[in-house]
Amino acid sequence: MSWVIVVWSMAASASLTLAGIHFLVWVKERTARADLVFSITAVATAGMAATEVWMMRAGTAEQFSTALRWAHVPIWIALVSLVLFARLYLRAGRAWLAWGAIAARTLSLIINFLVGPNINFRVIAGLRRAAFLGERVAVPIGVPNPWMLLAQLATLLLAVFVADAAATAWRRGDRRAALTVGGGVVLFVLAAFGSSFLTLWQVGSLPIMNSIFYMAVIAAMAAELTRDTIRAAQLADDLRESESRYRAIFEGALEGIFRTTSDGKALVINPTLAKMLGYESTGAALTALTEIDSQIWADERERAAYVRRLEERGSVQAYECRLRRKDGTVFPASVSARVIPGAKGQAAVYDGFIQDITERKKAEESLRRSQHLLAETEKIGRVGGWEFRIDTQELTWTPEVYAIHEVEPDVPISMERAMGFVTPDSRERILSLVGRAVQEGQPYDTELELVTAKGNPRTVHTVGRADPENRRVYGFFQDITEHKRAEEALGKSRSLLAEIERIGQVGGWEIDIRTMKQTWTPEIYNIHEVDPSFEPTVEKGIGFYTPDSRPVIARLVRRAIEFGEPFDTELDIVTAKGRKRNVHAMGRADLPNCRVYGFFQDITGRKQNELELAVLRAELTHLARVLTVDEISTSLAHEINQPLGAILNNAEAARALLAQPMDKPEPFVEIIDDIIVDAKRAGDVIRKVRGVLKKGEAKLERLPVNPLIGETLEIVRNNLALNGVAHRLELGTGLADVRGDRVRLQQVLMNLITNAMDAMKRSPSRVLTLRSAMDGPDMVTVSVGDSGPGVPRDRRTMIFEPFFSTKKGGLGLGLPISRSIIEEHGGRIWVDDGPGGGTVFSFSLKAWREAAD
Amino acid sequence: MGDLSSGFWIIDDDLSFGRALKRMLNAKGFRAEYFGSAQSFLDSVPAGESGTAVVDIHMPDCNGFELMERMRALHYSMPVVIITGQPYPKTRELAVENGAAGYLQKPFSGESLLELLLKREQDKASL
Repeated sequence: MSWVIVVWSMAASASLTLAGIHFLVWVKERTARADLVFSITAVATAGMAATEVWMMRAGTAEQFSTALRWAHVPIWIALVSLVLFARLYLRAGRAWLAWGAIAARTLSLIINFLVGPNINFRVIAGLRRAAFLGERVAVPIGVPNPWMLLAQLATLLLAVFVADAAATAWRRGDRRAALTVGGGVVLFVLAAFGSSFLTLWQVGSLPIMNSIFYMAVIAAMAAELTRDTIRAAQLADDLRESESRYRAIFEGALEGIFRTTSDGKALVINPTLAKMLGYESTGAALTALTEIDSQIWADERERAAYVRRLEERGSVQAYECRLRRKDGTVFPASVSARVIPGAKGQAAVYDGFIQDITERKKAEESLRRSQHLLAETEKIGRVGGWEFRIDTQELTWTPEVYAIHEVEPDVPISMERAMGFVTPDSRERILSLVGRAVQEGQPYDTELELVTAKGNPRTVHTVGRADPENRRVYGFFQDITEHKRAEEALGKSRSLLAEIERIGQVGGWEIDIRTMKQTWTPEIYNIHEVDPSFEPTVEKGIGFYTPDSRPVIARLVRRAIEFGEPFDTELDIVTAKGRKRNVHAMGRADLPNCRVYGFFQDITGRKQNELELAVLRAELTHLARVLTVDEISTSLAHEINQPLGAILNNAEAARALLAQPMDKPEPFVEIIDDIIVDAKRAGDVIRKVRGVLKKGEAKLERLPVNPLIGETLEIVRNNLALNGVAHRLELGTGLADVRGDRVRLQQVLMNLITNAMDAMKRSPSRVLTLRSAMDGPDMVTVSVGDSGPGVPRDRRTMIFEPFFSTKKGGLGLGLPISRSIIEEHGGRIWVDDGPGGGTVFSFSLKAWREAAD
Repeated sequence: MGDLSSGFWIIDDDLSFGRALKRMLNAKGFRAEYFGSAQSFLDSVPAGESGTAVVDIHMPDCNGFELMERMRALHYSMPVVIITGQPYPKTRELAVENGAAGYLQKPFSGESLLELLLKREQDKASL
């Protein structure tokens, strides 16, 4: 059994195995360069083992020498790869040491093949067989080569280099690596060095067994590397685990996550984003999205701004923009992104996420709209909100409250200032109400008066509530100035209306056709002199009218109800207290709404006034006529009185003279002459009276008698009514027309009627009778009768004389003038007793005949 | 002082009437003079004269009341009787107010004039 073969084979195969494994690692993971270098070292170690077995089995010195020579090749490889490994793995070590070692060993190798037999020996004399592991192995006998020192130096340098690198690594904190690799390498390299030093300097009789020591080094390195591999696997597991966690987040995120290139190609998209953009899958999206600039960005300006911001600041936060989906629809989005600079030579990428803010935008819009609506409502309703925070004493107003106070909006407002607007009358009250709200949580609801910042008075309805939990008091504030004004105006107009009704003695009424019930305003109750509790109906209403008026109003109301005919009439009613009233009733129909309505006015006073007015007018007319006569008569009286007076005094003189003894007749002649002259003078005056009264020539025309009487009656009707004189007409039929002057005949009638009225002044019953009749075929007689005391017979002729008057201040010219007129007409005027007492004045007129007079 | 015996002064612009009145008074045995205007009377009759003035109201240049005023101003002491043809009731009051001794409406008889003056004297005497 060759233990040497076994051990060396094991070493070699182990090395080769390790080399293979780590070579594969490197193949899989090209960055694992340490593993590659390690595999080289391991292969070199196997090479060293092979050459050592070759040496140990060498039969001759030459074989041994050749083997030894070729042994330097794997040794060189080993050294260089160790240097590299240490450098790679420990990431430390002074460069000059490394290069020194490599240089020395390379030189040694060159010399090894140049100087014979090899670098170690000048001459190999022979071989010895030493006992080693139950075998006899070849051990060289020879003269050592001084060039060997160089080789050994290289090994030392290697050891120093590794030690130094390990120290650096240790200090850095990679203690385990430093110890294992550094320690292992140094230790076993030195051990190997020691062993071969002995052998080669002919001191011991051990074969060259570097490879065994190097096995240890390999083992250490492998251990380290394996640990790394294990750790790497673990890390890979962790990574995979966390990756899957992150993947889950990535996949499941509500936001769309992306990575794009700066020139518009999508590199990474999560499913949310793919769906957001309207693609079936991320794969489909990634394939499609090659021109993000035109495909996704809906607004070029927005895209440009986004890119600009990214370049300037390196990131963009919540950039709101509009993006386009696969189907072309546009949606609002919020994009946040970061620029990830590329490694040297690579373009930058953009990482970020996108949120579809359609819903948010909708909510914002609806919020904005409802805020706007609220503001509008506030404005329309002139109502605003306020809030007072108890702890900070902060008062907040909504814009409408500012508007009500006519203060610039958003100006900070204090409770003090707010109270300043309130009028002194209201201030105490509102202060105590607010105070109670703050302290006791009592709500309030009140009205107050304030004066705005511009000095305008306002009435405001204010409500306050307490919110003790949040330490605040709040409420609303509504401008009710217009409302109050309208209320006042309404109240005023209502009371004005009532006033008007009362003053005008007019009220409104309404009939509900369905129930025939009437509604009256208060004034109508007054007019009828009934209690407000009286319930009027159509029937009851008609019942108030006088017998004459009743059928009229009944017909009018019926026609209004049946045919919708409006009416407007003046009638008489008798009040509940028995007073007669004149009323003006007006009605309109509103058949679609089954109602008839209108107004009702007491015009008794007016009628009275009208009567009086008419009377006055008539009197005025009468007076106008009479006055002229008055004037005339005054001056006439004067003119007549003069000659009369002269006549009287002359006659008296003559009488007195006659009583005395007279001899001369001359005085009497004078007197009588004077008397004659004066008498003539008087006659002239009377003639003048007639002439003056004549007003030009008499216009004789054909006159129907009864209408003449009717007209005259019209003129005096109101006068009669005023004086409570009733009239009776007994006008004949088939009367001939008369020939006469209308004006003068009317004057005669007026005169007779006036006289009749005067006669009846003190009579209990006053009835004026007007009669017309034919008096033979040629004459028409008109009579005016009164119910007065009558005229005594002895006066009956005198009354036609001028200046006879029973009236105080009367002129007594009416009847004389009348007689003159009638006689002018060729008629007669006379007076008689009335049939039932009283007086009748009559005159006759010639009937109209075609033949001219 | 107005006693009947002193006579009458008639002032009236109506010649016919004035003449008749003078005639009547003369016939009854009284002295009477007639003047056609207030001025002619004032020119002819001094203030101190006795007698009774009978004055018509309606005279063109100076009416009866004005004449009475002037007579008062000139310290005439004779009584004045106002006569008139126009029957204004106010005139009577006015005459009395202005201190006329009497008021007569034409036509009046001689008796009424004399009675008036008699009564006046009697009243005066009884004071």
